[in-house]
Amino acid sequence: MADETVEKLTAIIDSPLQAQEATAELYEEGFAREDITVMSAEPLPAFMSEFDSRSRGGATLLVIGGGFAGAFAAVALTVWTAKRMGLVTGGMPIVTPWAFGIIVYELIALGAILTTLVITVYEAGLLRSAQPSPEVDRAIADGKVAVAVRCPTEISRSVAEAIFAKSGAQVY
Amino acid sequence: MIAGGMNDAASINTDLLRSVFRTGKWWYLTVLIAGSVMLAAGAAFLYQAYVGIAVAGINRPVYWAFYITNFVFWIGISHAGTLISAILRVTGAEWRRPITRCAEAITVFALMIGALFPIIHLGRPWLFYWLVPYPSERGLWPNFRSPLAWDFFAINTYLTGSIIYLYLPLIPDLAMLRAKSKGIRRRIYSLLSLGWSGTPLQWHRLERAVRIMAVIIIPVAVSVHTIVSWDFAMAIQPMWHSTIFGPYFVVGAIFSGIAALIVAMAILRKVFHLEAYLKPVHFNNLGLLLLTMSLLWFYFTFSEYLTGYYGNEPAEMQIFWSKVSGPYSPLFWAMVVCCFIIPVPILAFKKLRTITGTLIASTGIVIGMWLERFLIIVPTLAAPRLTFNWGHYRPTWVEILITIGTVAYFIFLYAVFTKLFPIVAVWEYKEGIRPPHTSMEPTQSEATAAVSAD
Repeated sequence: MADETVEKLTAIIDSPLQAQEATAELYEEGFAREDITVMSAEPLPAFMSEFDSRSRGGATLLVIGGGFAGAFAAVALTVWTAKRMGLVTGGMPIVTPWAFGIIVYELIALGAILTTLVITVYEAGLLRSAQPSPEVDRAIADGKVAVAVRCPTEISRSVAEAIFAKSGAQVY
Repeated sequence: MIAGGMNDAASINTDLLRSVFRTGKWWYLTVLIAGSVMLAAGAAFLYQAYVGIAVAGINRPVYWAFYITNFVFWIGISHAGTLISAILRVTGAEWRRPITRCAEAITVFALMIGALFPIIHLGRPWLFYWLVPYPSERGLWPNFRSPLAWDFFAINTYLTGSIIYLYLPLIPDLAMLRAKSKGIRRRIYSLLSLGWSGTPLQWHRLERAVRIMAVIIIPVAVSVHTIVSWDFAMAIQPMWHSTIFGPYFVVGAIFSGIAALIVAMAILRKVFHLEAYLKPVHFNNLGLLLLTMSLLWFYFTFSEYLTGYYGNEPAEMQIFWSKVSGPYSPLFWAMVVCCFIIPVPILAFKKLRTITGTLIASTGIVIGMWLERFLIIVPTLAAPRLTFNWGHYRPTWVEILITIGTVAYFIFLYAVFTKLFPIVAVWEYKEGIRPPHTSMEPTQSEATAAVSAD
């Protein structure tokens, strides 16, 4: 049986083009998408395009939902509490749509803003994922592209190393 | 990634991270002076809190003066970030890239400072928490029908949104700083970068979040200064109760915001040697925006005063003449000179619309817009409808020192920010200068060479 040591190889590649070629070769050799991680100091459109089709409108709906949550909170804070307090208004209406509407408007925006932050942190895996090792981190900061690949077998490791060697990559 | 020459990643990193990793003597001097002035202003505030609000010049009938002028002024300055970063991002103006962070930082700091003034203005500032809506034995509850309560929600929403809008695009640069730092600094940047590693998924989600935030923050910014204007317009005071105040204040805010941004950019460019990044084209483009806003501002101001003059209502005319030819006329005409007479010729002619020219125009505009806020507030209060109640206003050293102190506070915050974070968004800048053929598609020659090799 093949050796099932699971190992992660990280290659530091000079250019995004070479990184793209290397990842294409890795896919051709049978490596799964989930086993390959590309890391860079600036956005690489070629690697990002697959996510455009995956998240059509989902985030927008969540943000709109956050806005509704903000609106509900605003109504609860203003209308409900003002009525419950029994505000003395000298016969004037306790609830005036124009005035309370402004606070609802602001808290809709606040709800949407906070929802955007939360879903971004969650979906991007921030706070959950480990940062790269210091050597890889430095290389990425200097403008290189890091390609990390999970190698479940010794054979896959050799294949990955050969592909990276072709790109002139430094492997960790 | 960006091949060779001046634009290679290493030289960009060196240039843009220089301010973070190297500290010149001017930085220490700036922080020392700004910090000293801040402390003096803080002492003035404590003196006011201890002795009483009477040490400020505000009294009946002029119960809003310097502090509220500063409040409106700083909230106005905060519109810089929203316009430059958000609106230009939404419209796809690529030239915005080196200046977005500068603008977003101005927004956050200006808002923080502006929001201080309602508390500075309190006679008993240590009781500010009484304004917070929680059930208590006092039986008080906020008056949600008051524009001041709307201010609270609007400014806090805008401040929260602006902080997040500044922070999100900062994350990749924080990761870069993490990689290049050591010791405690590295730990702090690690914490702030939230484990960012720059995977395509993270980039995609970040860019999506920034796009969404840009769309949300624009109406919030418009609403904030509209609501601030309603602090005045909702009161039935002569020359305040005007339907035009909402858009007038928003235009004025954007106007002063762009001017403040140009001043900040000119200083940063000089101090941090960012000539290759903050180029004449940026000042030229901002100058054109400033020209547009100057003309718009003049149009609104002219409409406002013409409407009052034509109505000839006695209470309004009293205030009108006090500004145009009375005791406030020097300030009024100084405002017109600073906001229109000087800037428009400078900004209208390309030969004059240089970095120096736009800086001169912008400095004048910042001063002129402060005067504008003062002239909206004080003359109206000094001459209310009932003549027995007319009064006058003279600022005291306490108000003047606190006003200067907030400018120093802004400079201090900005100096500290440039020490901790790159003032030009490194990744955004690099993304903007990436040549088209390195967007990962092979060039025609590379494809032909590959076929020939086979």
